[in-house]
Amino acid sequence: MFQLDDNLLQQLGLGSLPPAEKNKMLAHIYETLELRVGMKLAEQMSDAQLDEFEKFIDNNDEAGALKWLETNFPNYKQVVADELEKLKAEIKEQAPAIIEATMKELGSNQPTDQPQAA
Amino acid sequence: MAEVLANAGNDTTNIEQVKYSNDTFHLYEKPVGGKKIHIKTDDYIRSFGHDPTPQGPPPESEALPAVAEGNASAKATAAEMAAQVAAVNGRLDQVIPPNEQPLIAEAERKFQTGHKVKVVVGSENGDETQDNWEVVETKGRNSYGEIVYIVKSPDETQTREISEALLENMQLAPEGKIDSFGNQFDRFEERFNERFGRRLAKIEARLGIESSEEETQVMPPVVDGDGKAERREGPGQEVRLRGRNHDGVPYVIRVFTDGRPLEINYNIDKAWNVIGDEEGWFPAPNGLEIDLMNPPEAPEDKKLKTWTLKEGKEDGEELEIEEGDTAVIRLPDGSFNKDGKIKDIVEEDSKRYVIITMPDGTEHKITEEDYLKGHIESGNFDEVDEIEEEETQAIEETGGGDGELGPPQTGLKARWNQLKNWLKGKRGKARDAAIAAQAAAINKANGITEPPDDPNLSKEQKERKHKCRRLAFFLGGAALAGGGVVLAWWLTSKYGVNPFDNSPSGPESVPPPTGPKNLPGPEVSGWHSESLEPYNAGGGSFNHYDAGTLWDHTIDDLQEQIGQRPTDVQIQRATQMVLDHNNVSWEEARHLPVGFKFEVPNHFPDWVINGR
Repeated sequence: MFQLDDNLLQQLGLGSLPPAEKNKMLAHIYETLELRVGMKLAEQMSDAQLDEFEKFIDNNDEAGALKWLETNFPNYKQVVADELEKLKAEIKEQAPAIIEATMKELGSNQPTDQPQAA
Repeated sequence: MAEVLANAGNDTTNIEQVKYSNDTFHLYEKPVGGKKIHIKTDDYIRSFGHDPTPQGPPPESEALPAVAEGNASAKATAAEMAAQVAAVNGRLDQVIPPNEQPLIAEAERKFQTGHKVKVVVGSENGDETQDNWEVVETKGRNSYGEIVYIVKSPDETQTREISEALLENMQLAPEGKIDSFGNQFDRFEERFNERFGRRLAKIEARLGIESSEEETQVMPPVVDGDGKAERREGPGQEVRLRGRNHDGVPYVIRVFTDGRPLEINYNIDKAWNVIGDEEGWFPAPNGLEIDLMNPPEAPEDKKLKTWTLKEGKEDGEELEIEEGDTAVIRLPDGSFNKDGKIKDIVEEDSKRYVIITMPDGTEHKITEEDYLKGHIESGNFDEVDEIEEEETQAIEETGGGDGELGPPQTGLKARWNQLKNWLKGKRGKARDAAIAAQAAAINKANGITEPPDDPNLSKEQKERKHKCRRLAFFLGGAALAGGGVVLAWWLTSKYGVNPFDNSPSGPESVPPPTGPKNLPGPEVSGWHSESLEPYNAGGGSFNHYDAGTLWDHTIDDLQEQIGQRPTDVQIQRATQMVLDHNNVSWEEARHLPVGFKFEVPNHFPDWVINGR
């Protein structure tokens, strides 16, 4: 299991982000990973396979879609793992810049913001 | 022996008032030849129309049987009887009855003696409010434990006994006459928003969703005929409420004043108008109860119909349409009319026809090909570019992540539904544009600028690119779920604990869970063992949560017991119960290893399900 959690952010050098920003960052990591893995798999598919998979969407059959994926792309978990590693490396490299930009943004909002729930 | 102080009644029944040695009184009904039965004074008055209590002070008596020392139950009964008699005496004397119960401390009271309050007074023409009634004193507590106040009218000619809860409600009543349905509705709206608005705001804050004015508002009451919202005889009137479920899907609820079951309809347009008349309404399974964030899904036969229109030629345009969509009709003079709505597609003589309903009720039947041509010529497809630009801009402003799509949900089913609902209503190229915008926003947030499409790409290549992107989110969602990628923050924050915050009672989180120690004792018939499987989101059935966490097990079991998706509060209580039993803290529960064994109750008790 790949847990996208606080431990991951600590590993990536983003442990000092405020809680709300951590949530946003994890959501962003998930979305990015989802898009990249999805595009990677889609690009490897034939037109017929794309049509087949689209039918699962039209029929709202997510369980069927997963089974189809496991049958047609047995290595999909490796794609996920590879893309996650690439993404982690990218984020780690950018971590100081991300923290600086976040803090700067939060700082500039400070005077005008009312105290509010994070 | 008790002393019979007075008799009343008729030929067949005697009423006796009896005094005991502790100065308490008791009323009995004694049918001739029958057994003596204790009666309440109020019941007697209702049956016989007059008070049986003798006028004037009862004669002194002595040597009556005393209530046994230490017999609390008997003492309570005696006190109750005494209070009944005293209350009757008080009514006869037209004075405020003596207060037999101890005074209630000021700190416990919301209304103090001398306070001026608003009281709702009934009349033949309906209820109305009157100001400047005065709180005289308290009269103990009623059977619900509520403080009862005695209040007197401004002219001091009337007194009333009103419970604290009712008196509080009266302070909220609109001024003047309140017989108008509209007035009552205004109050209802205010209280509805007060009650649910805060909850929604808290949930939205937790999920990072920005509120919009459209969120769960109460719509004006719908009335027939002259449009006046007055109470009237005849069929029940209808009140509609707007809402959005956890995935942001809008729905409308309607309730009727005649007590019919509450009904739900998901078939609504962007202006919250119901599509398809009565066809989309279905009753709430539990009558008048509904979880606003998790309303039941619409049965298949209540969902809107969708069709794909195709041009006759091989590489022709395609257009997805849905029942209730705005129809575009090309008129003979070359102009376009967009007043009609798509109603249906029918097939005659191997040709498909689009049936369009106009506002005046007339119907038009246009061949599929003509409709598609008209739609294309109207320039409707050109609007796609505007949509793309708007959506891209909106997403860029939020720094990545489409606000409408919301933070990704963990679990294939949840994410899949989220994506489906996000794309619901977006058709053809508009859908591709929205997806492209979402992808562009994600890439941009990562510092990646996607190069524009190569102008030399063929139509097929462009279509494939769109299709790949369209499928990417679903493919990625399935792959991540199957590959066991879990957004831990979502799992935990969903149930009220922010893993990044050490103070769970902070303003951004829901109140800390209240364990069984603070709730009525669980009546659990037994427990059974379960263990954590490897996370396999989506591997389960549609109606079940994935079993990768202790929460999932708890939700699944609870769902199986109550037959529907449990509410957040129920989940919280159930999870707390399971955690306590297994001696696992919320913090520890977030890091349990696969294979961890724990026990779950065979049957969750009532306090988990109903809170009592």
